[in-house]
Parts: sequence; C-alpha cells; structure tokens
Amino acid sequence: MSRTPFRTRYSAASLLRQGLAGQTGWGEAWRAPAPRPRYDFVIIGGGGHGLATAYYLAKLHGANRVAVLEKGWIGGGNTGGNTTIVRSNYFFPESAALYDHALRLYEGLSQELNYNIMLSQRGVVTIAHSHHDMELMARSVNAMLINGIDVELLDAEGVHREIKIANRDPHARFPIHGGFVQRRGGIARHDAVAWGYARAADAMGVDIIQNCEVTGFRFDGARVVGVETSRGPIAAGRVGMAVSGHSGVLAAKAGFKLPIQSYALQAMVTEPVKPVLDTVILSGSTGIYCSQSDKGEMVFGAGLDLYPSYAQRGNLPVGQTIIAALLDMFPRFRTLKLLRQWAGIVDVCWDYSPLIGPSPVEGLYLNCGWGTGGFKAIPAGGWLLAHILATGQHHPISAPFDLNRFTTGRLIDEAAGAGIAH
Amino acid sequence: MRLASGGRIDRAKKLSFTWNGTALTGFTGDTIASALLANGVKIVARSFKYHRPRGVFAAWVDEPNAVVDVRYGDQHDPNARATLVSLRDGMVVAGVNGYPSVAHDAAGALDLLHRFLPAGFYYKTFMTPSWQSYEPQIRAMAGLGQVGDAIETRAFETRTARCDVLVIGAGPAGLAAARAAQAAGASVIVADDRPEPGGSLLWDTATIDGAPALDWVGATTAGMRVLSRSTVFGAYDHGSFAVLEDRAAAPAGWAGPRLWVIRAAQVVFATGAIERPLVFPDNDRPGIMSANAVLAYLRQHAVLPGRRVIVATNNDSAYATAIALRDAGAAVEIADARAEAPNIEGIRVRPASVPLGTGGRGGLAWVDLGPCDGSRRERVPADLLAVSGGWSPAVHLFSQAGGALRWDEALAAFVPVAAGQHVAGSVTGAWDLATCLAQGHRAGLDAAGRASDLAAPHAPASALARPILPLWGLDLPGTRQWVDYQNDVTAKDVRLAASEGYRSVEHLKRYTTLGMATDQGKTSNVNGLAILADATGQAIQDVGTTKFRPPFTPVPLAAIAGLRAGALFAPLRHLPVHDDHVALGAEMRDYGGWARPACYRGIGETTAAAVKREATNARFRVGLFDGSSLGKIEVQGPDAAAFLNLMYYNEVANLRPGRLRYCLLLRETGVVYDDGVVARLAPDHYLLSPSSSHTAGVLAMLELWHQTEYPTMQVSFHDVTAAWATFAVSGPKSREIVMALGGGADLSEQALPHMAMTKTMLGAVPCRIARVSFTGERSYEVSVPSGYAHSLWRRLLDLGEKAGIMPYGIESLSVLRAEKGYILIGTDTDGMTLPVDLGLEGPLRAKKIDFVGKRSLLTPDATRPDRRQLVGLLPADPAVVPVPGTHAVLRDGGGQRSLGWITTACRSPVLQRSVALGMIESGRARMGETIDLFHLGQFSRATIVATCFYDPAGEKLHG
Amino acid sequence: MAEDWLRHAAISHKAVMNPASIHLVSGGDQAANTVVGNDPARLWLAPGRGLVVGFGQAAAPGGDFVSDVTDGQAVFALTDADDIIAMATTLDPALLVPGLCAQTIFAGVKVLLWRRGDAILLHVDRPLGNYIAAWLAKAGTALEGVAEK
Repeated sequence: MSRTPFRTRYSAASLLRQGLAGQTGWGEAWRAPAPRPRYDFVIIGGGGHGLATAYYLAKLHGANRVAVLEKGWIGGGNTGGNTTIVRSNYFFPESAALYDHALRLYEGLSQELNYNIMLSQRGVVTIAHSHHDMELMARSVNAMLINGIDVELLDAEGVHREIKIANRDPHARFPIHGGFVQRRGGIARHDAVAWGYARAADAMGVDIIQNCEVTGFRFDGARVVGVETSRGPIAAGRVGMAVSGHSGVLAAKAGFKLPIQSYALQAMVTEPVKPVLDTVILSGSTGIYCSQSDKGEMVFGAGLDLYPSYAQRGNLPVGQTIIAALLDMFPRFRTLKLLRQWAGIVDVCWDYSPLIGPSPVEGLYLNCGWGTGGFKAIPAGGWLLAHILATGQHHPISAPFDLNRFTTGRLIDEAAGAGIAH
Repeated sequence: MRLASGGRIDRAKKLSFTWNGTALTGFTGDTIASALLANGVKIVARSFKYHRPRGVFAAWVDEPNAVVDVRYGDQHDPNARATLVSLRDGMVVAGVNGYPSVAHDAAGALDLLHRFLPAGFYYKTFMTPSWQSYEPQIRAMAGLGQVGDAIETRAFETRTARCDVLVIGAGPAGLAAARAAQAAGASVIVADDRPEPGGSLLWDTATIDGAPALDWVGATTAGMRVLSRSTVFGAYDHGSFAVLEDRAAAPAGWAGPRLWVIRAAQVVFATGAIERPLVFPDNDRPGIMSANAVLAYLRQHAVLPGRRVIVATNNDSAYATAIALRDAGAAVEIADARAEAPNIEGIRVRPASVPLGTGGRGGLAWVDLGPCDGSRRERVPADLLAVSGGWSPAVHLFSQAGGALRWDEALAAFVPVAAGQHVAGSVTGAWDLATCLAQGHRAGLDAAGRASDLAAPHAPASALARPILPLWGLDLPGTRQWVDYQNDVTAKDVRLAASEGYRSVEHLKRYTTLGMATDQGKTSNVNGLAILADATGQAIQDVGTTKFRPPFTPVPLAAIAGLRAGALFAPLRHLPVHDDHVALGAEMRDYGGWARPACYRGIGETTAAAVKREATNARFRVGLFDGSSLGKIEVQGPDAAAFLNLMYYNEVANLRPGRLRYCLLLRETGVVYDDGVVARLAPDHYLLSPSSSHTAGVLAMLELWHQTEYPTMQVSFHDVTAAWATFAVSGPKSREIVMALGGGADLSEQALPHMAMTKTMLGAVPCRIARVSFTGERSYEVSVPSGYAHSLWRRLLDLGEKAGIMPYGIESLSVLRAEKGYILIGTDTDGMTLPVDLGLEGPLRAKKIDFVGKRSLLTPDATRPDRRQLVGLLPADPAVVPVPGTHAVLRDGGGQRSLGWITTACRSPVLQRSVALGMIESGRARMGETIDLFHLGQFSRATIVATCFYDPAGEKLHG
Repeated sequence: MAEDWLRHAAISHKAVMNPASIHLVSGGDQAANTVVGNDPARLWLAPGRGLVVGFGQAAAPGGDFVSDVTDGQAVFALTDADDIIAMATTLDPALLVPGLCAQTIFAGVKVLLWRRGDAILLHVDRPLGNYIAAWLAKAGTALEGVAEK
C-alpha cells in the first residue's frame, strides 16, 4: 500500500519545525465532517474496534465511503477506560490465533499509523498461588507453546526475579508458587490507539462523525439498509456495530437479542511514583491485574461488579475487594493513594469469548462480547470485522467466534480451559 | 514569616522537623506547608514535565504543587500533600522528583526545550526504532515519590454508620442545615475535612445571631455528631457515602486514617467552593498563591507568606485578603481586572489592571502590571502575588451522586441544578454569610422532611458584591500562561489540542493531561475548559465538565482495604480436628478455602515419601482420612425424590433407602459441575455430599431451581456440613476397626454392602456409617456430630494401632484414587467436560425425564465423536511421572496439534510405576495406541489404556 | 463402652458460648427477622425456615423437617458490641432490639445476629469460628484506648 497521506507527518523533525513555528502548522488530527446521506459502510461505535474497522476497510479493502458514527466522543467508552494490557496468552488455538493476530498488529502499529501508541512489551506474568494452580498453569503454558505463543513457565523464584516487590511471605494467605510469563505482552496507551486509528482512517477519507447517536435502523424488508441518527438518517450498504456494553441495547433496536450480559468493571489508578514494577501481573486467585503506567501510576483492576448495569460506576464493596487483593500481592503499595476510580460497561458472553460475524439480521454485522478483554484485541477486532464487511465472509480466525456457536454448543470457554469451572 | 501573635496554633507547643535535612521549627496546629512558609521556604517541588520550580500555592485539598515525602516514626508517605499533613515533632520532610534537590533540579534544563515538548508531543515521536528504546529514561523521570522498602503494618479501621441526614461540610451553610435538621427531629451526621468545624467562620470576624461566629459554631455543634478531619470522597448507590477520617490519634498498632461508610436517607451538599487562579504569563512562579489561601495562612497559622504583596483579582473576594495583609503589616497593592475598583485605605488599587508577567530567581521578585491588552506595563517589586480568578463550587460529590450542573454566566461558575437534592452555601454560588445561613437552614428542614419552629440563624447582610469579570487568560502571543501547575499544561496547550481536533473536554483532559495530576484539576479544570470553549467557539455550558468520579481527593489504599489484609484477607475454614492434624505434623494446605492435610510428614520425611507411605499403608493395611469438609446437604419432603431427579444427571428416585449412588450434577450447559454420593435415608429424605468447594454452589443451585422453577414442590434443603465430622477408615482391615467402635451396627456384607449406609448410636451419640470408597479399598465413612470429632479421631487411631493405622492426607488420597481412575472435579474435569467425556452415557440414554443440562447434551458439539475423553495413560518410561498439564500432541509435518492433556499423574505404589489420567481426543477409540506427549518443548511417549489401573473388577471393594 | 471414650468438646474460646442445642427447622412460619420465644428461641432464617436455639436444655423442636446442627455453629456472645458491629457490618446495631434477628455479612462471612440479654449473639458456621475469633481479637485492639499517633 502507498504511504498514507497524513496532513502532517509526525516525527521528531516535525516537532522541531513546529516548535520553531509556534505549533501553528499541525492541523487537525481528524476532520469533523457533517454526515453524508449514504455510505457503503457504516460503523456504529467510535471506540478502538470501530475505528480500527474503518481503518482496515479503507486501507486493506480500498473502501472510500466509510463512516464511523459515535454517539459521544471517540474513544470515550471502554477504549478510554481500560487497564491497557495487551497479551495473547490464551488457551484455545482459536483464541491464541485471534489475540496473537492482534498483538502482531500492535507490534507494528505506531509506525503504521504514524502515531506513538507507546507499546511497551515488558512482559505479562500470570501468578499461581497453589500446587493445583501450577498444574493448571502447566496445561495452559503447554497449550500456548503448541499454538506458537511465546510463554515460559516460572517457579516461585522466577516470579520474584521478575517482580521484586511482590509478596515474598511464604505464609501469606495466597503465597506465590510460581507462574508463567509472556514476554511479548505488556501495555499500550489506550487513548493513543483510538486517536491513531482515527487519524489514519480520516486521512484515507473515512468520515468520523462524533455526537451522532444511532436511534434506530432502516429496513428494506428484512434487510438493514441504513440507520436513524440524532443527526438524521444515513443509508448504508452494510452496517457493522462495535458498541461493547450497549450491544444489547442496539440489538434490541434491530429486533434481535444477544446472549450477552452487561456488567460494570471497575478500574483504578494510584498517584504516580518512581518506577517500581516493570512487568504486568495477573493473579488467578485474587483476580487482580496490575501494571505501572509510564507516568508512574499503578493501574489495576480485578473482577466484575456482578450485577447487570449500564451505570459505569461500580460500588464500594467490590472496590474494596479489588484494593485488598492488590495490597495482598504488593504489601509495599499500602502507602499509596487511590487517585481515580471508574467503571466501564463490559459485554460478557457465557463463555467469555467475543462475538464476531453476521447478526441474525441481514446487512448488520457484529463485533462485541469482548467482555473484559477488548482492548488487547482492537487491531484484530477491527481487521476481522472489516474483512467480513468487505467480503461478506468470515476470515478463518473469526469463524469460531460466530454467534452460531451458541447453537452448536461449540463454546470457546477460556476460563474453563484454564481449569476454572464456573 | 511567622507573625508574633494570632493564628489558631498552639505557640506553647513548638515542634521540630527537617526539610531536606535542614532543621526547622513550627507549632502544633501547623501543616507542613504553613511551617515551610513560616520558615521562608519558596521552592517545595518540581512540576511533572518541565521540572519547573514550584512553591506552595494553596492551603488545603486544592493544592497542586506541594507534594512531598514525609517520614514520621515508621510511617512513610511518599506522596504527601504538604497542605493536608499536620506537622508533628520529629517529622522528616523531603522534596520529591528533583535531583539533587527540588531547589536545584538538573532536570530543570528540560524547560529550555519546552518549545519542542508541547502537550501530546510524545504521541508524535519516540517511534523509531521503538517506544521501548526511550521508555526507561522517560519512566525514570516520571513519578513523584518513591515507594519505600518498609511495609505499612498498622491496621486500618472501617466503620459503618447511618443517619437520616448527612451534611457534607461544616461551614456556616452546613452547620445551619445540620442545626435545622436536628431540631426537626432527624438524626444527623456532619462531615467536614478540617480539624475543627466552622469552615470560613474560623477566620472570619463575623457575627451570627448577634454573637461571635465561633460561639455560634460551638453552640451548634454541641450534642451533634460531627466527624472532623473527615473527607467525604465518594458518593455511591443508595445513599452510601465513603468518608476518610484522618484521626489525629489512634490506638497503638492502628493507623490514623479510618474509613467510614455512611448510609444516609438524605444528604445536604454544603461542600463550599474552590478558588481558581488567574491565568496570565509566568503565573507559576513560586511566590504566587491563591488569595484565599494567603488569608487562611494568615488567620489559621499566623504566617505571612510575603512582605510586599500584590493582590491580583477579577472579583471582590480577594479584597478580604488584601485588607488582612495590610492589617498584618504587609505592604499591599491591588490589581483589579475590572474597570471600576473601590478605594481602600492604606492600599493602592489599580483598576483595569492584570499581571502581565512575573520575574525573580528562586521565587517571586517583581510583577508587571497593566491592561489586558498589554499595551502598557509597570514593573512592581513584590515577593508575594495573591491571585483570585473566581470561585468554582465544589460540585464533585453532588455530581457523583447524579446531580446536573449549569454554567452561570453572572457568577462565572458551574452551579448545581438541584432537582430534589439539597444544596446550600457557596457550592450554590452564594457568597454572603446571611444567604448561606438561610440556604443551610432551608436545606436542613427540607432534608429532614419535617417542620420546625427553630428560627434560621441571622447574620448582617453584606454589601452587594460587584460582579466578577470572567478572564480566561490573556491574548499575548509568545507568553507561557499556566493552567495546570503540576502537569505543566498551558493555555497554549489547550488551544493546540482544540486546533488538532481534541475538542471535547474529555479529549482535552486526556490529550493534555490537564486535571490528571494528584490535585485532580481542582484549580485548573474550569480555567481549562473555559479556554477550550473560547478556542472552539462554544458556550461554556456546552463544553461542560469532565465526569466527576470518586475519590474527591486521593485516599490511602490501605484505608479502603481495611482489615482485609494478611491472614484476614480471606477466610480459611478449619476442620473440626484441625489441631489434631497439626499436632500430627500435617502439611496443611488451602484446598478450596479449607485448611486440609496434604500429608503427614515424619521428621525429615519429604512430601513424596510421606505420600507413598500413607498410600501404601491405606491400600494394604488401613488408613484414616478426614473427610469432614465434604458437603452434607439434607433434602427432605414429599417431593424430594422427584425434585432431585430433575436436578441430577443420574436417576435418584429409584434409589432404595439405605443405599448410595455416585451422581453428577450438571450446569445448564451440560458441563459437569459437581460429583458426589447421593444417599437415600428414607423415602422422602436424602443426604447429598457435594465436594468441599462446591457445597455453597450446590445449595444455591437447589434453592434457585426450587424457588424459581418448581416452587410448588414440597422439598427443603438443610446444609449440615459443619454439624458432622466424617472420617474414612479405608483398607483391608477397616471393618474390624469400625466394628470395634461399638454401637452394634450390623456391618456384615449382607447388611451393609458397598454403597450402602446405616446408622447407630455410640452411647447417646448418633453415628452414621456409610460404606463408600474413594480409594478402591473396603472403606467406611463414620460420621458423628462434630463436637465428638476429636474423641472419635483419637479412638480410631487407638483401635487401629495394632493393625498399623496411619492417617493419610489429600495428596495420598489422590494417588489412591488415581490408581482406580476415580475423577476429581476441577482436576480431571473443567468447564467443558460433559458426562459423555467421562464415559458416563448411561443416564442420558436411560433417564426418561428432563433434568438440568439435558438439552445441552444433544447439541452437535456435545455429540461429535472426536471429543476429548477420559482415558488412562502409561508413560513409556515407567520411572518418569509426567507433569499434569502435559499435552498429548499429533505431530504432522512441521506443526503439531494438541489432542488433549494429562489431568492426573503420579507414581503408583501398587504398580510401582508411573500412571496418568488424561482427556484425549477420541480417547476411547484409541485404546492401546501410543501417542506423543509434549511438555515445555520436550517430547515423550505414552500408551492409552483403560482408566482403572488396579483391581478393575472391584474385588477389593466387595470382598 | 462408648461413654468412656466419646466426649463432647465444646469450643473453648472466651467469647464463645455453647448453646444446649441448635436445630434447623423447615416448616412453621413467623414474621421475617423475628425471634420467637427465649429458651428455646426460634430465629427466622427464611420463609418457612427457622433456627431453634435451646439454652438451659436441649430443645427438641417439632416440625416437618428438623436437623440438629448444634455442633455446626460457633456462637459468639459479644458484649458492648455496637462498635464491633459498626466495624464488621453495615447493620445498624440499634435495630437489633430483643425480638429481632438479622442475617448479614460480618467481616466478609455470613452470620446471624440477635440480642439476648446483655449480649449480641453471633452465629457463624463453625469452621469459620477461628476466622471470626482472629478478627475479633484484631478489631478489639482498636477499642482499647487511643495512643498518641
């Protein structure tokens, strides 16, 4: 493909030039066009997945009449509120293929989008807290090695070498028995992923339309041929939806139900401190995941507020549990202070795997159900939805995640694969 | 400098502390910030990006700059806010993020490159060769304090409380509200973050109801529940509020901070307002402070932060500061941005005048004053510039609780739109005391929901305030005008963001990091969004604010976690004879939330050796196992049989009383959730034995189905798990030992065959005996009420001594059951395992009625022939025990595909070789095949065999 | 003879009292969250479900379905317990008047609370008794008087 024609190419040289020019020549990262009456492809949802879909439609499939409709501001949903972890250490070959596709796309993304997404492949360590955990972990590690994922099993000493500040007390309530590490996993700057895709998509002619809420669908018989929005009707050749927690709400407007529950998932940030944690950690027993941002803040989260909600709030008891789990893992963090707390709306399927593919309604395609794991998959989610929209067919990577798996029973239950029976 | 008199400090109690190693003094009642100012310290910190010098700006939670490292005794706070920490004798205070010191920071040279480091610059570079080449240096420069090595060991207390009316804020409005609500009969709690109630009344010479304001405060708060030093930091659902009380003293071993969770039927938001700075060139120099903060330092701490003061303002409130400074002996001038300004005795007042620039090394030395367009400027020497750009009502909690906001043009402030909520005082934009008291009184009565005869408190009306002149920065190209002091965000950065398309207030925040520092934008958010509004041609109302979320101010993590730490982090259940196991040298491990013996190691014995010894003994002589944690759910009622038949995979309605059956419980997805023995005690009385970690889940499942789907069926469930202790006596010599217990139960083969149970009395004590085996040997499970557990345990050991009885633990049991091919839920099964995978297809074919999960057993995926199935595996090398989790692989060409995995593996004492169980694709069709195994890159081989390695006919069970 | 070697071991913790008997009963009914009777006392657990506690002597409650769980619970007697309840639960101790009982979460575990005489009785699953005891011991030190910080 030819070089994407950005208005201004970002580089150290451009910073130098613009520094001398008083920052006057940057230009808009993306336009704010008025919606046109018709597009070949309409993507509902201006988060990471929606924007990536539009980008790949333009870049890989030559689409030049594409719109992304975002009811608020782009990247304002789960993309802007996750804990920024990227990894592909999954159990099933189907999942490994999906998430590693995303990770490989992430690996070249800054250069490709000419936007620094600050990918830091500092390693993701998953911790085992019992002998039984270690056995289940060996099963997962072997599965990943067979699927070509870069992982390494660690004993307790190995974990403590990676994470010097972890709880070393062998009599801790959940002592560290060992773990495994995926070295290519790490973190990336979530806002930058959304903005990077937006800028690149816009440069290729995609219309990114913010403050445009889809209020309904237009049908021709049983086929979706457009959307009603707060800014007027828009006709579409094909429509893709990538709206995470609101997938059920939108599906209802199109007349079908999704096997999805929407829950609040809390995330928290501490005040910034000097570097003290160099990898990402996940703990099975406590459910905690944590990393230190490049600003120095601890960014962490754990399990769901297990009641269906669109409130994006979360409540104190779960927050307390999450924090207690973090401090059990990292007793030295007891002197830190909580700076920010929020919650997103995560759409969860029964098997905690995503839904990609045609909806029951012709002309409307799904990319949802990512639950708590959507950020790490953004490039693949967008890439695969673009493929389906452009060709009308699944790519082999997305086929197993089709809605029909709930009919055939062929679920992809990652938690189960990891040994958790729920 | 410190004034000779005045202030609410205790001059009798002098305190010593150090600042960056230098010994200084202060008084009880000082904060670290007031003590530093009293000692003339100008530079207390460095800004985040450019490492510019920073001085104390404010006096309370709004402080954006003064983040310091504080050590006191063995306590350490790496990111303390100097304005919030009470000074204590012996405190060690240091600057952070500045090397070699905050006064002289080498990284300050970065500021020279500021032109090339605007907001968001890092998104535009650092891509070649990759971000990670630059990351270590960037990380090293970021972050404020340093996490120390010491671990905070103090305990943090949590308390809950409830009230009819929670009043947030103990200023005049809040106290008026609390007084009225209490008089109207409501139970009231007042929470206020200062050390004493009164708010602005503490430094005011006002009168209320004809008496000094502080007298009114004292009278009002007498007999009232007041939480002082308490910050309400979060509003949650159902009227729940989280409050951090920073106690001045705590019991030994306990931390000062205490978390309150208060449930209030009604709440009055009297949260006050926060002063904004003016935005003008070089407005971040140390020596520039919030005007109201200067007043606070003067009145609260008797500290004069400067002798030659300029007060720059666009509103009336700063005049109080100017007058107070004059009265304290400072030389004061006022620069009022508005065209008309009053005459004040002893103070030169310049109308239509704003700061156009500042200068001075190591702190402020002069200020240029002139009109907004910069057409003229006059350089005025000054060592303190007190600024006021207006006031932003502290609407955070109101907004967290769901309240909407409105931009008031006249006030130049976001004010609450009360739609049923109760707000009072300066949070509504009201300023004069009389109005605040009246609002508070009204709000208190409304919140109480009842009338009262109590008259509203009265204060003399103040002169009408002249309107504020909104001023959001000056149009002076080439200048640096700061909006967020800690994160180094300038007005130009805001305009840059807007021009690049980051036009929503949330994009502004994330792109520039405005408002994301530890002060959470308290002094910068409104200035920033107002500049954004101007840059994008929008009304401020339409730009709006970023979403308000907890916490209102940073809160220690340990305070939120409370006592849930260490051993109290998660409960661990003890067996009735826990102490006996420990006394026998058991290695106790957490199995599903229960402390259970893995094995009983002799002195110098390894776990492996103990396991082998125990397993061998249980197989060939007799062993004793504590199975007390196994669930015991009694199910009783005329419909018990029918109901259980709906729940279980297996047929249970035809089970004869006195008989047991091994059954599976499925999820609706058909997945095996639990296995266990179902015993029928009587026609309408069953006893279920779910696995230890699933008892609560099974009970919940039974209740859920009964209550929601079959509520007319007459059946009840009693969880009696903890009421009974159960010990398994297992091995060829088991019967004689159980008979020796007495009780007269008929343990003959006819009366008690395998999978049957009986009951007897041991003296006056009921005893159940079940003949059921998890070892493959003749085995009796003897149950007594758990109060008798210790006696029974000791008795069985005594009775079995001659026969060579030994206790055996879970790991040993696991070897015995592995030899028999008996599965362990959660080890040999997972969240995908269906009954057919375990070779248990019978009930699906035979059971005619519906049962939970049946439909899922008929899907295409459930019925495909190549599913993973449970099989036995004999490794090619009998001396090698494969690691559980080893995969079976099909190697073709260059690649390989997993066929499944080993779930259980051990060295079989009876066969004296390694054996394993695994879930292998099409396993049952592959009997006798040798397959490849893969573990961490190493390959080996194993042969697929039947799951039972020992006594497949079960003769040892029945003999 | 069984009487020789079979001894009942009560829980020996200073705050634990050992009621003569505790039975789970299904059948019969009473208003929610009430305590009927004093010895035995029947505590409401759920519609049609109650806990019958005998003190002076073992009660033998009638009912459709009765299970003896005397040895299955640890019953703590807490005196001056308002602070402890405020630290461990979200319950308003003032609501625990004689005649009412409450099932709630105490320091993270399920308990049943009711007032009897001077004390508040806390019923918890016996295997968790050690955890509650440890928690009470820890929390108790918070109430021992305040030292200078």
